Formats: sequence, C-alpha cells, structure tokens
Amino acid sequence: MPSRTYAEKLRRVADNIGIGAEIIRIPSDLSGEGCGYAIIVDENECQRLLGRATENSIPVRRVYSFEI
Amino acid sequence: MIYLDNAATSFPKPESVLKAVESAMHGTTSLGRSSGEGAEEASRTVYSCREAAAELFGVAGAENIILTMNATHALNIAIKGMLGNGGLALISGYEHNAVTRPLYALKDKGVRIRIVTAPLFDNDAFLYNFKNALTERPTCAILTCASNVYGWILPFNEAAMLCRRYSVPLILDASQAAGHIPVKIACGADFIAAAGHKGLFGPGGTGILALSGRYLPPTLIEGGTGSDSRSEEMPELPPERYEAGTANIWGAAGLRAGIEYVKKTTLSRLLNHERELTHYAREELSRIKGVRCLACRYPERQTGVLSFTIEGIDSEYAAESFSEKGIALRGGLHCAPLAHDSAGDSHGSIRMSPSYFNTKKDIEALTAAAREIASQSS
Repeated sequence: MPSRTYAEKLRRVADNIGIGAEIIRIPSDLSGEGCGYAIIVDENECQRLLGRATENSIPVRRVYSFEI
Repeated sequence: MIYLDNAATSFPKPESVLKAVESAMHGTTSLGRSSGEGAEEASRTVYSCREAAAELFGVAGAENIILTMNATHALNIAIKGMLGNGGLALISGYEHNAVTRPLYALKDKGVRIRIVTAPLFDNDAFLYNFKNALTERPTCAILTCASNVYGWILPFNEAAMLCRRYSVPLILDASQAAGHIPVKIACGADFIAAAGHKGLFGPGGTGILALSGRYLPPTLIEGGTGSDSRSEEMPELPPERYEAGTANIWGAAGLRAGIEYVKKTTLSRLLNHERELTHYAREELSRIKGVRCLACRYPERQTGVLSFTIEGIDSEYAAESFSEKGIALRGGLHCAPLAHDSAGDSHGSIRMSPSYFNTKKDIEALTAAAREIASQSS
C-alpha cells in the first residue's frame, strides 16, 4: 500500500464486506522503498479484496503470499 | 464572560469534542510510526476524521482530505502550489490576509493579482465583474465563501460554475462557511480550505484542505511521512504528500467530533439560530443613536456575522469597552483590510458573531452595553 491512509481505507473496505483484515508495517526485506504498509487477509479472500480495491481506486503495489 | 467572537474561534466547544480529545490523549500514540494498539487507534481516529470531512464537503475519498494546522496553512498549500511559478490570481475584494499575504509573497515569482470589486452584499455586481475578469484567463481564482468581516455569503456556487466554464482552477476559502452553510466540492471547486476550530467546533490547530483530485500541486513543506522513507521526494499521493511530520491526532479526534456535532445538529439549525440572534442584534443596535450596522437586507446573503460601528469611538477601543463589560467581541480590521476598503469602511468595525450556544439574553447584554458605550462617546 502506498500509505497508511490507503491501508486504512482498504481495511475499511474489507470490514464492510466481511473480510477480516489487519494492517502491518512491511518487513524491510520486502519493502524496497523503506517503510510501508500492507494488509493481511486470508489468501482465499485476496482476489475479492483486490477487486474491491480497484473499484474504490485504492492502489495496491504488490501482493505477497506467506505461510503462517 | 459572554463570548460573541465565534468567527475567530468557536467557544464553548460541544462536550463531545472535549471528550473525544481527552480520549485520544489517553488512547493514541503516533500515526504511521509506532507499532501497537495506540498507533492503530491513532490511525483509525485520523482516518475517521478524514471520512467525516469528506462527507461534509462531498469529496470522493477520505484520501482527498488533507489535515492542516489551520485554514491559512490549507490556503498556503493550495495558493503556493498553484501559483508557485507565477501567473494571474483572481480574487474577490473581500479576502482575508490568509489569501492576500501568500499572494503578495509570490509577487517576486511573477504573480499578479486581479481584485474583483463589488459593493457589499451585491451578488449581481460581483458575478458580473467576476465573469468579466475570467476572460483575462487567470491561472487560478481564490474566493471566500463568506466574508469574515460582514458575513456576506458571496455567490461562490455560481462563481465556481463560471470557473469551470472558463477552465480556471478555483480555491474556495470556507473558513467562515464550514459548519454554517453547505460547501461542496461538486460546485466546481478544486480546493476547499476550512478552519477546524470555527464553525466545525474542533480544537485550535486544526484545518482542512479538501481536494477535487484534478490538481496535485507541489508541496509546501517536506519531511517524514512514515512511508517510502528511502525516496528523496514526498509521496505522490495525498494526503501524506501534504502532511509531513507528526500528525495532530488529538486535534483530528476533536475535529471529527465537531463535524459529527454539526452533522447531527444540522447546518440549517445552526445557521438559523445564529441568524436569529444576529437579526435581533441588528434590530436592537440600529435603535441606538450613533450605531451603524453593516447588514444585508436579504438575510439569506449573510451568515451570523454582523459588523457595526459606533460614531465617535474607534472600533478597537469599543471592543475593549465591551470586554470591560464582560462581552467578548472583536474590533479593528479583522485581518481583512481589503474587505474593509472594498466596503468603504476603511477604519474598521466591531464584529459580533454568535454561535449555537449563545442566547437572546446574550444579545440583550450586548445591546445594553452598546447603549452605554454609545452614550459615553456622544
């Protein structure tokens, strides 16, 4: 996410459609630009949320996949 | 003390505003920097404030709400961003120094100023002159929605439509309008600057710049945003692009509560109450020998702000005399010498500006004090 504001906006969008989402600071080995934000969601909900992000003009820079 | 200077800053604040500030002081830490629940709460608090302001001004997206220190800060971002490389600025003759001083400061960058004059409260004359001035193809127009001195609601919606027709970017100064009359970005404005601490009942040190998104001008100040830290430049996207440095989370909490209070009470109830008090003040003051009210005969063209003069006494001394009698008003030029010159009232005036929390009794006290002061001066 390009900023904390857009991360917060996407979290609101996720909440509104029943997707649990959490904002985290992007680990420095993933963030080339230094300091950024990401939204963590269940992988199964990722495409649905990306669609809503586009509809709401929320820029998403990259999608990471990781296992817990 | 009877406080009648709400055009300067609103007082008292609604209880909900005080509680919101206190709660934020207890429960929030740093926005976009720290980790932990305090930072999360700060993020939610500030975003909620943006959402409330976006709804108020009809802005698409909370990200188009820039939280500033005050309306002057917001105006400086817009004015210096749009005119930093010179050009022609079109302004009304009723602008505050928050508009004129940034423009004067840009004179050495080649900025020229075209002032659209019109008699006080004359909407038709203003629009006629404004339209003519637009044919000079200004770089940008800057217009107050309501005069801080006289409460004149300028025909800003019509002016905005004209700006769109002539493709001239428009910056609206809603300092005296926000929380009193509807101001929407959809009128055709590109920027709306507003104070948080006046009609929106927020704490001091809060302001708003609402963006249409058509223009993203250069930044006024640069610094940390908690994002893209390796980049030498400010982020491309608002709001962080214009919000360098630590955010005023506590101010945002109070401002959000203030906006919610306005929304719940409704603009029409707030304005009607203020206008009723002003109308009453005008009727009573006009009966006093030597008192002259600068009021409009069309009530819909005036907010709750009323300027008046007392013959034989300087407005600053008069305001001091009112203060000694327990009534807080403002005298002088109200940081708007251009407005006084345009209205032909260059010596200044005494301004009263009630809020929703004032009563008819307050106005009775004002008029009783005015009677005494006028009799002593004659």
